[in-house]
Amino acid sequence: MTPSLSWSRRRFLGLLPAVPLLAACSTGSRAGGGETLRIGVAAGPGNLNPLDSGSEVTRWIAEPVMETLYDYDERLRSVPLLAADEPAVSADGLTWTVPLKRGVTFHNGDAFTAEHVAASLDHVAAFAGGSEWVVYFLGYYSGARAVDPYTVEIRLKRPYGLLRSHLTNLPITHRAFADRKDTMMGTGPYRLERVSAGLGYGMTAHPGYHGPPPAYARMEFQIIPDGSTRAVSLRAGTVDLAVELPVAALPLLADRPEVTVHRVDAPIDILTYVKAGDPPFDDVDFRRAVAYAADRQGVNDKVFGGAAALGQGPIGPAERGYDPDLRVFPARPDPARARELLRGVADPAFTLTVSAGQVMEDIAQILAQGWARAGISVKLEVLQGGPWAQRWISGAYQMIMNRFSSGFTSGDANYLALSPAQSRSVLACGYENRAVDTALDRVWTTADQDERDRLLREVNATLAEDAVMFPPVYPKMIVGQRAGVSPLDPARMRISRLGTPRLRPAGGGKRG
Amino acid sequence: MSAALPAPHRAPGRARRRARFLPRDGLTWFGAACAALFCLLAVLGPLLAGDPNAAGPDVLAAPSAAHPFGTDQLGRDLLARTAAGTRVSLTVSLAAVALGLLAALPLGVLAGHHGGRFLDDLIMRVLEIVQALPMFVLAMFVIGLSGTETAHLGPIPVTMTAKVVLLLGAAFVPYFARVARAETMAETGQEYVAALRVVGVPRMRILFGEVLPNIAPAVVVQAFLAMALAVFAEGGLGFLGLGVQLPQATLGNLTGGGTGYLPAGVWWYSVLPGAVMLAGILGFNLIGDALSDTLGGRGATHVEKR
Repeated sequence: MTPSLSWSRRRFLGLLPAVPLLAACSTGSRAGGGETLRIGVAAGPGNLNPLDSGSEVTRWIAEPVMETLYDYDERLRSVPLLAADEPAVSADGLTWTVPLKRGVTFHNGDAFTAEHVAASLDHVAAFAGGSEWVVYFLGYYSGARAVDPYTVEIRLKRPYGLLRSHLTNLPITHRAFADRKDTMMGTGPYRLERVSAGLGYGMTAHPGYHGPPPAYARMEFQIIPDGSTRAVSLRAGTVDLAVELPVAALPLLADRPEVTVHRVDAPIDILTYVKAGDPPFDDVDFRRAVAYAADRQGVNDKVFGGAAALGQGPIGPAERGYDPDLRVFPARPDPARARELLRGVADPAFTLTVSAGQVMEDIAQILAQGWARAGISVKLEVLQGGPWAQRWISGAYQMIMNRFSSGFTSGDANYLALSPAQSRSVLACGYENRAVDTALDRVWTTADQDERDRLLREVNATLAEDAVMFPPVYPKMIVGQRAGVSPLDPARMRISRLGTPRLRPAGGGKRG
Repeated sequence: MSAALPAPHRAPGRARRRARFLPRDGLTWFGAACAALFCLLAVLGPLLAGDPNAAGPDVLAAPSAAHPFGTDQLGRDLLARTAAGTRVSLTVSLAAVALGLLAALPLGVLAGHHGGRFLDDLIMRVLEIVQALPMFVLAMFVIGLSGTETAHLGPIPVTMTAKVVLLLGAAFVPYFARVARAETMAETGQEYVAALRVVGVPRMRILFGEVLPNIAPAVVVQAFLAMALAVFAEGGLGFLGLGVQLPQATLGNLTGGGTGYLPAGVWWYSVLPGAVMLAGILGFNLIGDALSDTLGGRGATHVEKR
């Protein structure tokens, strides 16, 4: 008897359940290391211009490629980098003159001169550029010009103390690249060579770098969207650093002496605020009811493994103005108090608009459960980055939530995250409080850091008490690294950065 | 030596017809069991397994007597969420197939009746344009443009669930219509149609009262195969985050949500909802295939004409 060789569609379907078993038997590929520093990141941003993009990954990629006029030292004091010295400020505070370092070249060989600084500043100050920096510059910045090739003059409409912070955080690009979103051109120790859509970004050491020579011949940012896979890659040694490690994946790295996991308080905000000018959040009791019914402890326990700090006002532990003693809302939901505040509210319901992503979606679902216990009905609206940003900018939301790393624009503060509370801000959420407006105005104009910190503390307390901005938690920055790389600098991580330009093979020298 | 006489032709009795429709091989029974389990989970599961959004203290707990499918990262029972997701999957798939049939059958029957003429050409060319767009690509394009939030067609809100149903339904129309057209063309050549015309039965009654019931078996086969495709597509869209939105559980978003925990050994989160989805896809496919053998193609000659 000859066995039948024919395969009916039904027989084939019958074998389908075996496919997952075969897939489970497969092994992943391993990449080599050598003179390359390999960093696993969660996403591949479409916009590679750090002057425009709010993406953390864009900023991390830009860190070794682009430089700022001033940099942070190990104690987070601002010190000259591309600038030759401190800026000279005119008596009326409206003109800042910055001397520039000589002998610096861009990666394309062009000399770094004042016209590139002026072009970078003009770019972020233009509303059409769509940069988040415009929120800072609008109303203050008048223009910039090259006095000579190595002196730039910045003119202001009104005194602006915060400008010194911006000059420490704003990357300077080549003027021909200010509008480009597909690549980067800077003066940093590494030159962006390759952009592989969906895969990663390759860099090589810049031989003409004006500072200490780069320790690695190459640097690679590998896109590994899944957090657990990033952890596994770090464990397997296919990457040297892995960022944004999810708490659930950390057990994978336990008992691994070659891997260190850093958990650092950083200016990472869970932006959480309401449209205080429109119903239902124009009612302060409704806002407070929502804040009382938020399950902060649940979010901390289930999403951050208990490692985050519980939220109150918009300013977190790594940011200027944080008050660890501020206790307005309970850790666990207080449905009784919320119901009391909701007396008289006919239909306690609202829509929460969150950005897509496991962490944000988990936070939103836990909060929605807490609100449901207080009788508040919540519709979740999960949007991808672009549509979310459109809602945010247009103000078409009731409550909005996203993760935002303030450190890239504000260093050890979150000035930008507070701007929606200002009634005249382009991001205004409809909250009207003259005292807060005056205080935030002063925060931006004063050059006195102590005064600024005091005002920030006051604003933080007011925004919490009025339940305008009330993030459930203040998360930590979680980064894993292998022992083959010099330890990450905690000071850089405190401002959300990786400090990749200064990393070197552990033990010093080049890795062979 | 005796020659066998041909058996006298007898109209098949009800028992014989039933016997002919019963599956004869194990795989079909396996498929029927898978589909039955899938449907039972969708219908009874949500009633028995409790609130799919109720969270407990045990996060990512392995399957146990208390939580047969384990729990997710928020401490929710995955059996309850899988049952809720299966209900969504079945509802969306049924609605999409029903919508596709509703739109496709009149078009297919009309095209078949006017075979080779202008109306036939017009209908079929338009449907070919729709068919040229792969279903997933079409769905991702439309959802990418309109977003995952509720859209509004004038005063009518179109929820994400409705969008998925509309997209899948629209994608099925050309397939159903082609089958309906081909079957209609075959039927209209039959003598009974000519006879009905001769005795003055109105054309519409012939088409939708007589021809349509006779092409039903072929359409039913396509409907079952489309059900399998719809379960897969709904799950695929949910997996990509483009389907029915949270906190509503779907088989796709459960499978997708659990993949991040697989390296940490949390296999149950995505594997068990994925297995349920696989059961549904396999079940409907195998039933459709068996029906195809019985009603369409090789079995067509056995089907009685009305």
